[in-house]
Amino acid sequence: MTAIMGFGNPVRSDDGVGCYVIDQLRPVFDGTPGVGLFDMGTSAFEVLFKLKGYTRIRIVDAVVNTGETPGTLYKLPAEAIEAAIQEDPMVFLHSLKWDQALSYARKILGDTYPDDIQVYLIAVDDTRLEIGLSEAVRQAGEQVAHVLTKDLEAFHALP
Amino acid sequence: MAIQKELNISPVGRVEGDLDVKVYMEDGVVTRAHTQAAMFRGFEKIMEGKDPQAGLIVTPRICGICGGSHLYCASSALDTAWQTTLPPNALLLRAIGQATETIQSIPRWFYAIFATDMANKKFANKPLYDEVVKRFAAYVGTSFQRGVVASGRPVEVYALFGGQWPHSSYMVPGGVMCAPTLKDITRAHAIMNQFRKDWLETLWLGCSIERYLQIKSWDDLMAWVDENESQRNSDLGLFVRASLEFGLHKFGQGVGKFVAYGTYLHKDHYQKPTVEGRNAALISRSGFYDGNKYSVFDHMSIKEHVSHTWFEDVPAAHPWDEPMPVPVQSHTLHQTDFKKKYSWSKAPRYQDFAAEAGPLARVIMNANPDNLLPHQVFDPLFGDVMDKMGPNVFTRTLARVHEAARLYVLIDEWLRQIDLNGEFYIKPEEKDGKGFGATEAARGALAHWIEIENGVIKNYQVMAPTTWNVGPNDDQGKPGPIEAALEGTEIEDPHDPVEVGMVARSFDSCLVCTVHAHDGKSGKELAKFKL
Repeated sequence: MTAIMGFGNPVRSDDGVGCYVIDQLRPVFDGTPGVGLFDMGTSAFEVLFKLKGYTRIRIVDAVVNTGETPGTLYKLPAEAIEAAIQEDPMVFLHSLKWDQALSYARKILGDTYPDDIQVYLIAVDDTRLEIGLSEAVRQAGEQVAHVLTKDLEAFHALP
Repeated sequence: MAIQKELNISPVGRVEGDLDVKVYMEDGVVTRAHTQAAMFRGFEKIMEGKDPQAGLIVTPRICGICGGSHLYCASSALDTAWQTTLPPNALLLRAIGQATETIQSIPRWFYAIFATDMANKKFANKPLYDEVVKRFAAYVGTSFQRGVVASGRPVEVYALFGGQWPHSSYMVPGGVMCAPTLKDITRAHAIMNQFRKDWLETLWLGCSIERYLQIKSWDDLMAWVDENESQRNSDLGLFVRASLEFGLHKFGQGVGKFVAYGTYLHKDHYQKPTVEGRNAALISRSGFYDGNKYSVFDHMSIKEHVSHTWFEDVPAAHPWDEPMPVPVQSHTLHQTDFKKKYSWSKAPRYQDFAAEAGPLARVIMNANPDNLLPHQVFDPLFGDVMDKMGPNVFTRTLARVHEAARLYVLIDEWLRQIDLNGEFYIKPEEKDGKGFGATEAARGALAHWIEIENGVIKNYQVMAPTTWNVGPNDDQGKPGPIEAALEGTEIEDPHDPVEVGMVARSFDSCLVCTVHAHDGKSGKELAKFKL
């Protein structure tokens, strides 16, 4: 059971690349048993509710201030996410980020918290209020969609 | 392009904006308060010159929490501009979307935002403190977890019809883009029923919804609390008792004037959407209440002031008449002169008055006995609560949580009224013109105004409930609702002014809020914390 979650805001230029990746995967994998495709948008808190029933989680998001050129791809090992999680007891619905939501999910889900979580981050620096991706970031999104397609094909039978 | 590994970085925080609340305290009382929206939110600019339906895609992305409410407004604004015809099914499914989004936010907001403050050490000497900590403490409270988990259920119903939540675009001018099956309706009933069993009746009310809805006055509510152990020890029972013991009814009054646009357009009364016909078609009513009397809501009575906003000065104007704003130089909180411009938020005014938007405004309108139509909610409770207690942190919060029982009943009723063989969408004819769409988001009155010229968007204005509540001073130097609610608040510990946080949280602004508390005489910052 694999959940792919794309994060970001498609009306803030390259910030929307996570949602773009989900759009790319839909034509092939929508309706595939055991595969969940989620356009998470900016609703980090919802991670908590979407994890349930999945053993493998793939997260796609944009990342700023990396110092690398836009379109650079990062694949984070699960340990790195664990290390970066901030334990902030003052939850605020509008500022919660998905890593904090994961940390909270671990508390609530206990033994059923999925242990196979991988994160793909795409470096961006253009988050203006506009619709559409730059070519470099779009290509990076295509590449992540390709990697995830292989990943899904290895585990799930297409309908 | 190789996949690089090893990046020790935290994800992007996609906040809807930052709000700085600066208060000055003298002798344990807040003497001055200013709210500074610290981020330019120019989503409207994206839509200028675009296809009229751009708002259906763009505006649900404005907020990760109120996406459905923006969609309700965006589709309604186009309905009035294009003079569409709406099938009853479409009005039902839009109402269900709006109501499920609002009801989910009741436990989520109460446990994850508001009640955690009741576990603050400030209240440690109160008899009910231990029980409050046991249930409401962040993460570890016994009810915190159950309430937050239950809050995930209602939006599953939204997703059944809308495809996903919150960023769906299933509401369109002329109806909704979905055609539910009997299986979907059955599933929606089952999900809501689970929400009722897991939280609403068992943990929250300690009684049936029907019993709770018999409450019509403040005395009824008090009698309900003491009626039996189950109600007394329910989370609502504890919240009421602890609030009165902790004194939450003694601060955070605000401007004492309220505005609600109302929502849930009735399936049989808004098939021909017009701005003029909207008030009479509402199930949850609109209105303006000035502290003494009600008046009929007219969106033309709204103007936005920018004299304290970082936009070039223009006369206060209705959103249809406002030019696209021209930003001017903004300042950091430290460098801001609060006598001049000091926020990115505009200051909306109704008949030139600052007005509070939110659940308290809604339940006050529902207590209005005048001009009541048979399909409209009448609930006198908050007319009485306002007479006896007035607005404050407690009544504002009580209003929010009071809505859960009624929303449950309405959602159940609307699900039963869907005609699976009926129409869900009637293709409209596109035309130029002006439109107005409004609703009640969980946190208050939300409206979109659109002007279409030559087939594209000429002007689009979004006014969020937060704009009503966090707005700065107006042209006359009069404060906005949160600014007014903070002034006069008594602070027990100036180094931990939890009271300021509770006032701000009771308005549930859709911005990430940082409180800066200063000594009124020396100007020295004594405390700074995030909400």
